[in-house]
Amino acid sequence: MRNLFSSTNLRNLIILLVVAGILILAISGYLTPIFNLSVSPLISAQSWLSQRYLAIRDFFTYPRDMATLRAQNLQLENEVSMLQSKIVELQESLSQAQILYALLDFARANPEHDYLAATVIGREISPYYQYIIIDKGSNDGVLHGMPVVTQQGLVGRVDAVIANAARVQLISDANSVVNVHLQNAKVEAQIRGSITGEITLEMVPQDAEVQIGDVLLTSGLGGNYPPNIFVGQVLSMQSQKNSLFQTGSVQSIVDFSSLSAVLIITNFEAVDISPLVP
Amino acid sequence: MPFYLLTIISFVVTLMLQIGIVSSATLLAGAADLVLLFIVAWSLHQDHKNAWFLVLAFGLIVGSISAGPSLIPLMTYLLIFLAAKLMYHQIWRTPLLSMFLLTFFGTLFQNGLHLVGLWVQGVEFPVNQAFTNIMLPSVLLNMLLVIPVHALVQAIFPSELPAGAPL
Repeated sequence: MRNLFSSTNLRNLIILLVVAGILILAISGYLTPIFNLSVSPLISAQSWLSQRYLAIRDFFTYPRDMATLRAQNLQLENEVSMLQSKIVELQESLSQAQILYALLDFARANPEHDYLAATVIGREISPYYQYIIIDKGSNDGVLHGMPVVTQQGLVGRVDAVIANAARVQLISDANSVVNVHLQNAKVEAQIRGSITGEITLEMVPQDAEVQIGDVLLTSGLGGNYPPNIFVGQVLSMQSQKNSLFQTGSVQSIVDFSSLSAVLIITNFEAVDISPLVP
Repeated sequence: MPFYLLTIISFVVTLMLQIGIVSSATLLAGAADLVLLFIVAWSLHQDHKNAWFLVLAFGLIVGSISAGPSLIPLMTYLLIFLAAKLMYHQIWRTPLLSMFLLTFFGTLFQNGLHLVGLWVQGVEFPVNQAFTNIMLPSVLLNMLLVIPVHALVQAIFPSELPAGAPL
């Protein structure tokens, strides 16, 4: 019993009780402010150390990362350029496809003719003549005099042919004359191009009542063009008392300056009536 | 031999640019004539004996492609070539001035020939309209292209310019 309360045991018991007391106080939260007070400087010191370390590490590794970033940036820039060029390419393809779909729709809507699609590859060198150059020639069955159209209407006729290309005279050319039929007025007339590309309506009888906006279709007279192809609309009319015929100006729906694809009517042969002309 | 090859390649490229692009870029109804400009600049930058043969060939090629009378490009290019030779030997120290002069008068001459050609064909046209809508814009566009074409041709045929000649 004396041994039980010896000084050593008593010291151990006191230590145990103190530790247990501290634990109970810690678990119950009474020591938290004291912990915070003691841990905060440690955390601050740790943060400071960590920040200095990161700064020193960045200082030594920064140039290497810069080079990597530059390489990545260059690669991404290349990819962006490539994708941009692909977008342009696809937009071009889409535009071309839309034109071809429109031409296809026209061909389906007018099944009485056989068509050959051609791309416009050039224009006449001299500004005094209205011609285009297409990428289909005699190797594709293109012949002199074949009419050329788009989904919007009459374009012209084949004027010269070589193996893989042909020259097309537009209806706006100064040497071009097309016999037309005024749909509403029920009269025959003709349209003539000019050196500046404007189209005039001629040979309209004085008694014909032509309204602005009247539709012009090819009449088929003369044998140069098949009948009933849309040509344009009447823009204005001039009538002089002393002249035999009325004249007017015509607005073609076809934009000749931006033609990119056309259809050649391959089952139409122009009739040469020049021997019959006195 | 490289001179002739280079000339032919340059001419073909010029012709392709003219047919494919330049003819579509119109001002009113006029358009620039890159082939004419090339021939003017080329004639002013070389002094080969048989160069006239190339001019003849160029004139025939353009004449066969164009819908207009075949003789017009031939006559224009030969006349320009002869005038350029005259200038080359007389006032060669100012090739750019010569180019401006030749382009101006060459364009007017070619346009005039075209109008005569149309008149012979029986095409009716108002002369003032042809003058204001085609001839003047064409001259203006050609004059605007004189310096770039001159610089380009000088870069392609550098050794052909007479020694001491300024731009």
